[in-house]
Amino acid sequence: MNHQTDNGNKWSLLISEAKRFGRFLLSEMKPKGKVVTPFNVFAAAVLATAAVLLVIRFTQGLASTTNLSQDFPWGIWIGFDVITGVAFAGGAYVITFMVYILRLEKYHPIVRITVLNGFLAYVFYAGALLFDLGRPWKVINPIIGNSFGVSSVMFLVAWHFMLYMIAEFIEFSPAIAEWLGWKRIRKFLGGLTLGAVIFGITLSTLHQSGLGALFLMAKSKIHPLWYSEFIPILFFVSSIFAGLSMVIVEGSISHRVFKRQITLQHHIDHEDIVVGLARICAGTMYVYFFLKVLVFIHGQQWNYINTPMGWWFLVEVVGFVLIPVRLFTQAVQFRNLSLIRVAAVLTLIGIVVNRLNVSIIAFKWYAVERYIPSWMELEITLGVIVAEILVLRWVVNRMPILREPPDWALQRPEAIRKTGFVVKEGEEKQWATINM
Amino acid sequence: MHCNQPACASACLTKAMLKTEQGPVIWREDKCMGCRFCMLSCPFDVPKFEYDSAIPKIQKCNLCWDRLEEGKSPACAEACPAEAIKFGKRRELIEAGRAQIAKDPTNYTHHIYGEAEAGGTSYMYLAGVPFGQLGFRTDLETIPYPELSKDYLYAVPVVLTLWPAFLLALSNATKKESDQEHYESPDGQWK
Ligand code: SF4
Repeated sequence: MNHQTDNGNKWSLLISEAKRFGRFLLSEMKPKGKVVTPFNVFAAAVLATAAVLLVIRFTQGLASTTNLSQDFPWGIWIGFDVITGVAFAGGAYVITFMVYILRLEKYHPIVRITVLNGFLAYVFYAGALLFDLGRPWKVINPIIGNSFGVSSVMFLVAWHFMLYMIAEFIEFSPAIAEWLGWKRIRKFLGGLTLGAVIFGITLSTLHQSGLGALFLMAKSKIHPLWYSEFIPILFFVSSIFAGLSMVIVEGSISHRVFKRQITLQHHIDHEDIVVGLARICAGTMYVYFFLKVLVFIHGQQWNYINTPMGWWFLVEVVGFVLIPVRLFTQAVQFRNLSLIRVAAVLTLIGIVVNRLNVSIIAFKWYAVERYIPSWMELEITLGVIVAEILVLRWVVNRMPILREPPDWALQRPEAIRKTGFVVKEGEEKQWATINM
Repeated sequence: MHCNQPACASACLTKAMLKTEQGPVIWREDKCMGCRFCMLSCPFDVPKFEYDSAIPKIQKCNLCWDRLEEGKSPACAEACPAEAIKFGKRRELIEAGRAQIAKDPTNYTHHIYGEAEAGGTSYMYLAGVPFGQLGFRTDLETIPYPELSKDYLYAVPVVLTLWPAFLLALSNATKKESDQEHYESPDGQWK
């Protein structure tokens, strides 16, 4: 008898706990803040249109929505969404490398937002791959083992995408546990972080370069100024500063949008973090520029320079690599945040230009009928971006991403405090008033 | 073209594109996920995709693979009354092609297209005018195309084993350091 009531107690406890948890989840599902804002209206319109277009795409075939052709099997859904999007998401592996491997604690405050951004970028941009696949219902074939095309670079990239998403999810999962108040699980997940980080950096190295390696076999189709056997290395190196520039730009936006969530300490550190990131950007961009020049000389490509494609090449290399790297250097010297942002934006444009060059513009540059994306392809791409932003906002508003984690989860506060930052004189006063 | 070492088959992540032992490169519907990486990789732009279909297929010649299994020759070779399309062992066909050119050197371009292109193909052409004029690409590599990404693929297992070990070691090395006191000056330099 006793035994039974005991069990009954446990059950009712479990049920009430589950109910409480359900109510919590439900309440968290509700939007925080106003629903009808200009951005939300815009987002709803974009998503609704994208949904209609996707129905058309899946019932009528790719020709109904895209301008792809036999000559151009890959358009912007691959060239921009996947190849550029993944380069932009490179910040996650670089920042986790700096914080967990090099232990530069200064960058700790931006780890979570960067990992979250990276994770969502992979989910959405690599997920957009499904729209592009002609036979998406077969997508599990290379995973379930009945047909491993191990000699394929694509096989490698596909697996790495999947594994990397898992690694990033593990890196991010402590924030979920903190949000739900799961203390023990939080501890367990926190213990997995270093392993996930090491695994994630390795995977990133390989698939960032792997995206470049996809084009190695297209040697006779890509303009010689863009084709070289070093594409994988160039893609990898450029993903470092592409990712960091994205962190800088994204950080300055979220600093405005989520102002109230950001801790005072983080506000103070912000300038220092941005300058540090800009310095690394500049360093890796010099390396990249040097590599580009080396490849150019090695390939003996002087005779291409004075052609339209050659000018375009100069626009990319001078306008969007050399100029931003100079700006970064100068801005770091004078700790000029707005100049850093300008340089970061230019860098990002440069990455878009570079990735689109390799995948679309310099691809079959000799073709009579060029590929130009249809408005529907652009619309769906916009839809993917908007969807990602909405999810990002939802998460940031609920989980401790920019906010300080709950007290019980702060495992190493001293590590964060130890980065003794000297407040500049003017700022000290400014913050002192807020501190009261 | 049924290359000896086809780019499309090595590009395919599901082995839907397959180089069979007898020579034909075939496409298998049940495996393909429609990524079109085979199209991107093929130097001859042979695979074609059905953009108009909701259940699209990759279209390409399969050298009548099923007929070869039954011991017959491909339908095109069998049907051609002028014997302009010949079927046989690759080595013998190259010999025959050379003999043909030697017999009538003024009327044939002195080249067997496919003998060396992309490392050699199983479908080869003779022509009466330069191949460029017929829309064939004459600037292709003579090495098999899969060679182009081989170096990268060889590097992958190396990175996969060495990189984590290196990262772990590095992370341990920095751990000790952080036990000691260290400060950071405003210019971001470690002291
Ligand atoms: S489209 Fe099909 S056959 Fe071609 S590479 Fe992709 S999975 Fe293989």
